[in-house]
Amino acid sequence: MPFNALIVDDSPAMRVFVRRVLELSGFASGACLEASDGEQALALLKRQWVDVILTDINMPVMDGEEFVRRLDRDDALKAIPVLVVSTDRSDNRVQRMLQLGVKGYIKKPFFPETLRDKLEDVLGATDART
Amino acid sequence: MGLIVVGLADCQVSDNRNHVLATYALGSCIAVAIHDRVAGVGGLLHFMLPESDVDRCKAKSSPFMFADTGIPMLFRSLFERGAEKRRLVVQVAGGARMMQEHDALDIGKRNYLAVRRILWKAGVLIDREVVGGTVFRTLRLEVGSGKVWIREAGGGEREMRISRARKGAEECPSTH
Amino acid sequence: MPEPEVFEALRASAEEVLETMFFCCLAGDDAKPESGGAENRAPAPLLSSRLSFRGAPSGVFEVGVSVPAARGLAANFLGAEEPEVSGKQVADVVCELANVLCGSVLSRFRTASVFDLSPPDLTPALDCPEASRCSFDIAGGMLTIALRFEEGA
Repeated sequence: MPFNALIVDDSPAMRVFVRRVLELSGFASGACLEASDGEQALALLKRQWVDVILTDINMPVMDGEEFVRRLDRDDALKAIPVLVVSTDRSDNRVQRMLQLGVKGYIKKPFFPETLRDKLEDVLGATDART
Repeated sequence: MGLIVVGLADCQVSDNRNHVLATYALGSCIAVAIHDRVAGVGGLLHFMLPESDVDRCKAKSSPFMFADTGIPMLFRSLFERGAEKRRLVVQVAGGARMMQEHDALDIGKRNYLAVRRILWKAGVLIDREVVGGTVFRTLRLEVGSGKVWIREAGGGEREMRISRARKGAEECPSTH
Repeated sequence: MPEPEVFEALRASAEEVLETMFFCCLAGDDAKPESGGAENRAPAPLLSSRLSFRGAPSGVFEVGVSVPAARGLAANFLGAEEPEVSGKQVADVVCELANVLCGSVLSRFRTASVFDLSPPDLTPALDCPEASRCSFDIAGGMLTIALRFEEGA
């Protein structure tokens, strides 16, 4: 079954990096959508279901924290697992995001394998190599 | 069980289920062990330095001495025997900082960064690794099972397991 | 001259970020601290990016990378070979480098505080007066980092 992902980050370079990790981990068999802020992401989610969301925090227009709050208020969207990928390493922010229900918090800088491992923890390993 | 020794600046690939590939004296050097369970093929590379441009002549005569010449050759040999990139399990060990060596440049760390860079560009992620520190290591790859065993100086042999203590991961409460 | 604490944070963050997501290291243990005056700007040509941060404290953060080094860093980050990387991609990566470095540096000063980082902008040159600044040798050239805390920091 194709696997759809949504990457939310205002940095085009970081979106390429995260997309590459998804592809190399086997989690990009379907659509890999991209948005540069939370508002764009919400608009995309109205048109396409995804199986995982990876979001930055510091973004213009709508930041990652507000984006996750909006997801949490939607009965359907709140079921999508969310991983945060952010430069914000403050204890306060991490705790707030975990309390909002994100499934993982990856702090930049990170090894690609860190993100792969967390994806497998949350979603289960893909079967190519198991 | 046939033991095949992989020396310094050496690489061996096998599709014989009875073979075990082994390498010793991993200090600042790096061992790259790759296995494809479906194709039943495994390979082991033991390289010493990160980049071949320091000695192009040496790289021609001894390509497995360098990460940037040795790793692509390891991949080619595996693919020639039916391995597929999406199925590869990649394990890495070594890259220590050895006090006995004149190592102001920390060759172990540079070797580790080289293998990470080359694998990332080749489109492959590392599955398991035991790197850094200051001890010698030995490693063996069972071609039949794909298991990799590692021994560190002063310790017993153990199977390499997935490391979860990676850079950037935040500990979360139970997510399931 | 930068305070030793600031200098060490800049060096440690440069090492951490380059090794983790750019797969390269500082060329030596010696960084070159500089005073913040315009007369000590890193030599051109280089790609530079600036962002501001708001929190406790607020301030400005800049990164400058020699052009050949920036191309190498971009290729490493994106998982590509250098000829495959466009000029825009190199610029995007330099901006992201500034973003990640800034987050890493600030986290060494205040682990609990929340900082808001502005999106990084490309700038024609490093030009942050009164900044703590230091430079590092990397493959292909030089990386310069400048940090200025606003009044009251």
